[in-house]
Amino acid sequence: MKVVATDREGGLHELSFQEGDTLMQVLTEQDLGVRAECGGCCACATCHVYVAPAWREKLPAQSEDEIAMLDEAFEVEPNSRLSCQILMTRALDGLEVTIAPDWN
Amino acid sequence: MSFVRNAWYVAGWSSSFGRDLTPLTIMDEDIVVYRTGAGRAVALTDECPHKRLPLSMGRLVGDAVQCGYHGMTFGCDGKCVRIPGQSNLPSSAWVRSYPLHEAHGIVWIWMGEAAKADPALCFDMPQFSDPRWAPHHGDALALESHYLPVADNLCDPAHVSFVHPTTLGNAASEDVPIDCERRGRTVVTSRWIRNAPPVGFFKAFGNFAGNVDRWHYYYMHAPNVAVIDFGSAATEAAIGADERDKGVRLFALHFLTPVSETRTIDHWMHLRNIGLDDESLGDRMNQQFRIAFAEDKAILEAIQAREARPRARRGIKLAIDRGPNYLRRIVNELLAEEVPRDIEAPMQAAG
Repeated sequence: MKVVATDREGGLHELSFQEGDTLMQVLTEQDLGVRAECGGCCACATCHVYVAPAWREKLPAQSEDEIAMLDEAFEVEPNSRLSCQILMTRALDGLEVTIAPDWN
Repeated sequence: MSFVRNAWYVAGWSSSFGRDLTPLTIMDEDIVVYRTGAGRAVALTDECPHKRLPLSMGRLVGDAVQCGYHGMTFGCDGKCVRIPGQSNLPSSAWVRSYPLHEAHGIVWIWMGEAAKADPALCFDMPQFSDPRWAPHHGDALALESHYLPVADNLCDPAHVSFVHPTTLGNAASEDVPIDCERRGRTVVTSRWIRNAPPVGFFKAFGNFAGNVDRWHYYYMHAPNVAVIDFGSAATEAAIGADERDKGVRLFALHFLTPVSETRTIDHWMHLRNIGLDDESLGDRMNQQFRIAFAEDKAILEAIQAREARPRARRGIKLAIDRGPNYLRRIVNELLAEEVPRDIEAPMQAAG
């Protein structure tokens, strides 16, 4: 099973995953610039991605914590998600995401 | 930044106020506190509306305060009762009177809308009135810091391993994950450190021969009250999370009162379930707390000094920041409730 991730330079990466991984874990297996500073507990918003429109409805709903944390992120769009909050399942095989801009 | 006004804040220990005029500053407001002849505490704006002299430089006349400049005199409700040299008392001659609530040797003040000052909203805990617990006042620690970083510190058990190595923490807890949840207006952060040597505090007061199970539960009641439930029990006793009364258990209480954007008073005290009749034990425990809280003060003041300057790069948020994240969110919600509704209303077209 694969995720297709677009990095900040527009490069495409096919990343394999197993059920039970979080999307953040999948994205951080290679260095694509996802900081994931808090390690995946929804405390930092540095694993921010944009989800391709066709996939938005297939993802688990956002928790209050994710909504609140995204509220503190930058360049948030309607298809923004925190990748640590997305648990990968078979239904997400082929998921397309774009890594959100970094900020300093 | 603004302050959450509709909440009870500690003005001082009951013993701090008497038949004299005690000035204090809370949220940049100058306040004078005194007791009536019957012993009731009163808080008024500490400024005469005539020439702005602090009323605390005047004197008590019965239960009223007389300004030390021209003798304007204000009753407990803040209304002017006398203007020497004239008989009329204009309706504008008043000072604000703040709602107070006194319980368990603590005087609380309400800084917001008086109509909302319900004593039932004031912090209390059953152990204050429970003979199995001994409450012991600590001190009023002034920190040159905004109150929110102090409150952050009180939903952050992770720091004790590094900031308080001789008293409340040790290296055994460094890598133990912290549980965190939000319960309404309260942030609860906690962890257990099982089967480890006792920390300095419990070496001194726990009389433990071997390893202990140690717990820290931080209850931060936004915006300003923290209850730190911590203790230790012999590891061989294998107590469950709900059996903490079987160990040596303390509640360290912190009542934060913002003085200004850069100054906070932390009134701290403890309750303990051992040595109930031993006053000197309370004092000796407070000596350890003094060491620990001075360590917090040094850190929080150094951070405040940096906060006065722009930061060159964005801050990093770690897993341990979930608690402070929740706290800041709750405070923002409380502040949003206090914004007058019409501030965001559309402008009325000029007539």
